[in-house]
Amino acid sequence: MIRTMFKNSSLILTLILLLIFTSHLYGQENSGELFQKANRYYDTGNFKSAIKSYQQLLNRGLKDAIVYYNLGNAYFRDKQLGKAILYYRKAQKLSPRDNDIATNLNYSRLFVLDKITSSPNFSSVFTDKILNWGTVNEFTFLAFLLYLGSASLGIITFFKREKIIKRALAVSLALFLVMLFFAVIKISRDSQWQEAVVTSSSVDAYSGPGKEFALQFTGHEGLEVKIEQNKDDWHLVSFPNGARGWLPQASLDKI
Amino acid sequence: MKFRGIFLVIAIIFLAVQVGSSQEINFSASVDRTEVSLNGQIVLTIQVSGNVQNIPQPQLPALKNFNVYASGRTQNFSFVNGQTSYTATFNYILIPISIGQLTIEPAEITLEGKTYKTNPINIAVSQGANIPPTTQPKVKVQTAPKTPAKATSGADLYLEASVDKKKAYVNEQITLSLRFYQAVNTIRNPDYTPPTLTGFWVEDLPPQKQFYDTRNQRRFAVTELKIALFPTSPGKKNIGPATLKCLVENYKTLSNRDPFDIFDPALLSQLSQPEEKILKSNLLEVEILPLPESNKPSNFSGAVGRFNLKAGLDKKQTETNQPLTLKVTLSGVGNIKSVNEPALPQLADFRIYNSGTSEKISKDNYRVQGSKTFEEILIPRNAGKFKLPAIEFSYFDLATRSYKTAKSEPLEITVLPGAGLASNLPGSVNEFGGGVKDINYLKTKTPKLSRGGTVLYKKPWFIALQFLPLLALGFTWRYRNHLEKLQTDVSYVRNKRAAKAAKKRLEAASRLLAENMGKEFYAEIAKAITGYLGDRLNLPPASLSKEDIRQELALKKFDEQQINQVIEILDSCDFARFAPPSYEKAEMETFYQKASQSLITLEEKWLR
Repeated sequence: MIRTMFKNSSLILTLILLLIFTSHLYGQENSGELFQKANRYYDTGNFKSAIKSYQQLLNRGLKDAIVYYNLGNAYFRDKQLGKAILYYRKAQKLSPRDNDIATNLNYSRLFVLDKITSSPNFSSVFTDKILNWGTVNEFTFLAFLLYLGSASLGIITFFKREKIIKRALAVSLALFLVMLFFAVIKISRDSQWQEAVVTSSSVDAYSGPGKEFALQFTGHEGLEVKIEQNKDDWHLVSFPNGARGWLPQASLDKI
Repeated sequence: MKFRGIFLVIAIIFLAVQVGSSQEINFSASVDRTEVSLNGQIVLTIQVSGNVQNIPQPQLPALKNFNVYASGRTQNFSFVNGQTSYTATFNYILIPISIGQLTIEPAEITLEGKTYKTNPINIAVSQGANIPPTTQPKVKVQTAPKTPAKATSGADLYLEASVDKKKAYVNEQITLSLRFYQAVNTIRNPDYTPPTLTGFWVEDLPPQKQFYDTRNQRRFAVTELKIALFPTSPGKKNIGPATLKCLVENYKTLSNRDPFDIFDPALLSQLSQPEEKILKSNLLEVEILPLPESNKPSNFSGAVGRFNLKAGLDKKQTETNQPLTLKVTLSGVGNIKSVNEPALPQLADFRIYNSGTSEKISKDNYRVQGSKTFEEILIPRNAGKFKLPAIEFSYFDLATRSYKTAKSEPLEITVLPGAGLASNLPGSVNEFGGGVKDINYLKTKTPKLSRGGTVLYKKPWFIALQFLPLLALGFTWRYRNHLEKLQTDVSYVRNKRAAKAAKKRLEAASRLLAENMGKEFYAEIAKAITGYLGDRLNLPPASLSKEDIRQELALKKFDEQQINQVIEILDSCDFARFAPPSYEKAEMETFYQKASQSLITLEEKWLR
């Protein structure tokens, strides 16, 4: 009796092993299942495995705000502050009006050792607010909708020369131009202003691309920077308060 | 009259000055010897004489191979035979620092716009037997000997350096004592230059001590100065000589002189000027031992001596976001100034800010000791009871020659939940996160997980879509224009309708052909062609003669053959309509084909 039970259980074990083995062999694990598995790892406190699984999803090309957000959480719990902020930022880029992402990003920023007081001028705050409201696609799509609207209103004016329609056309055209302007700025920002997060625990900023230059200051994990220039394995970055310095590439991860 | 006299006097004075200033100026340099040994000394005398006032300090050449000490200036004024003459003598003491044939380059002086130069002087510097330096009684520089007993023979003044130990660990205190022995009085305070101490952290140890000592039956007043040295790296280190420059009343030289020299001006000037002496202390060598590598704690930061560590909080209980002050005090004997802050344990529940460091240094018994206090501000994030683990500081204990670790007592903190934000603190808590205690939970809804590749504006279909409204706009605009013309422009309407009407007529003709109604058939064909041409040319078909057709078509650049064909068809129609009614079906069919073909070619040409 005991023997048969043992036999049965060993059979089941081999079956499970086979399942796991084959699923690895073919990489056929369903992405949805992998996502749920990662969440379970997170729930049981196995943050390293959770990170691994979320990364696997990303490696499959499934770049989603939710995956980024959960990965950020896993990194935060694993006490990798820089990576946590990096993935929250990536999530926010895809889903800019998500409250959870904003909350966790702001909360994790509290743990950054360096306090940076930025005093940006009003106009940049205003444009930043608008530009941070949506994604590139949202801006593009909105501009496209306004373009469609203006075109249809234009067609209507060919046949009905009423004042209201002409005014509506003027308004819609103006809105379209404004939206086009923002879309273009957003696109150019996304392609030019490469942003990054410091992911090594501390990093020295030099006055030039190399350790032979003067050390200017030291920053810590989780600082968000803008990359302004590249040379070899070094980046000239600017911090939110306007401070600038060269950091080695290895200490940064691009958003 | 009176004024004139005064002017005369002034003029004469000016003239005299003018004459005087044009007088020759004598500028020369000389040395007391041209052969010297290393560490010996040469007195360089530069003399300027002439009828000039305000003689500036001459400019010495760059003397790389010598240590140069200016030793004063004497001035002489003489009035002989109505001529004034100044003589200024500048003395320098040169101590060669390298051997060989050395040259003292010309010195320069600028007087009333003219530059004068001295002659260069060659000096032979020999190695000499005096390394390390010993006393040279003849030379005015006196160097303290290795053994003070020998040295004091005859010397009135000397400087002696000694250390309390010849072997020391890195960062262990070595006390350097400099003693200035004097048996004669010095004029003014001596000018002291501290020794060169590269490779040491230097700490002065006041106060200066003064006492009397008897050596070689001479009573010396001794001034003792102590310096604490903390070697910064292992190896053999030299403690360079300290230098003391002092002025001594010079009576000995006078008594040694030939009495007849009493009128020697140099001697006279020496009488008026005290002698300058430069004293150098002996060189010292110490051996610095590296700290043992075995059992070196990982948090050891180089402190050597004996230290205690204390930690304290300003209060035991606080509220969240209300700051506490943690004071970590490190006290003991050793180079306390260079001590680094002991590492604080990781405290996830607190934000930690360093708010300052203070130190108290005392130098009792010539040992550098004291305490250093590090102040940290802790801001609790969360409520609860927390234990601050013991803070550790490792040092190398000199008494036991081993590494030891000083530990503070662990501390307990009670944090009550509080509402207030510590907004008045430097780098205070972000207001947004004030109410947040942790990150939000995962998003559990499985996302669609599609490969969201490129952005919208880069997708080809989206780019193509941009042309759709433009096309729609273009088409509707044309359509609107068409409709407008239909309403307003008759010729446009006729023109547009021409092909359609012609087609209708041709269809009617083909029906007549089927019914075998020859006359009507030809009439219909003729109507189709004249109607079409009338519409196209915007002319009434009734008044359209064949001549008109020929003319108009020629104007529209139709070729001769085509025009002839049209006219021929019209002619055939007329002929058939008025000729006897013998219509053959086959003939009519080919005629129909010919007419419709002709209309098609006309239309093709028109549309081109």
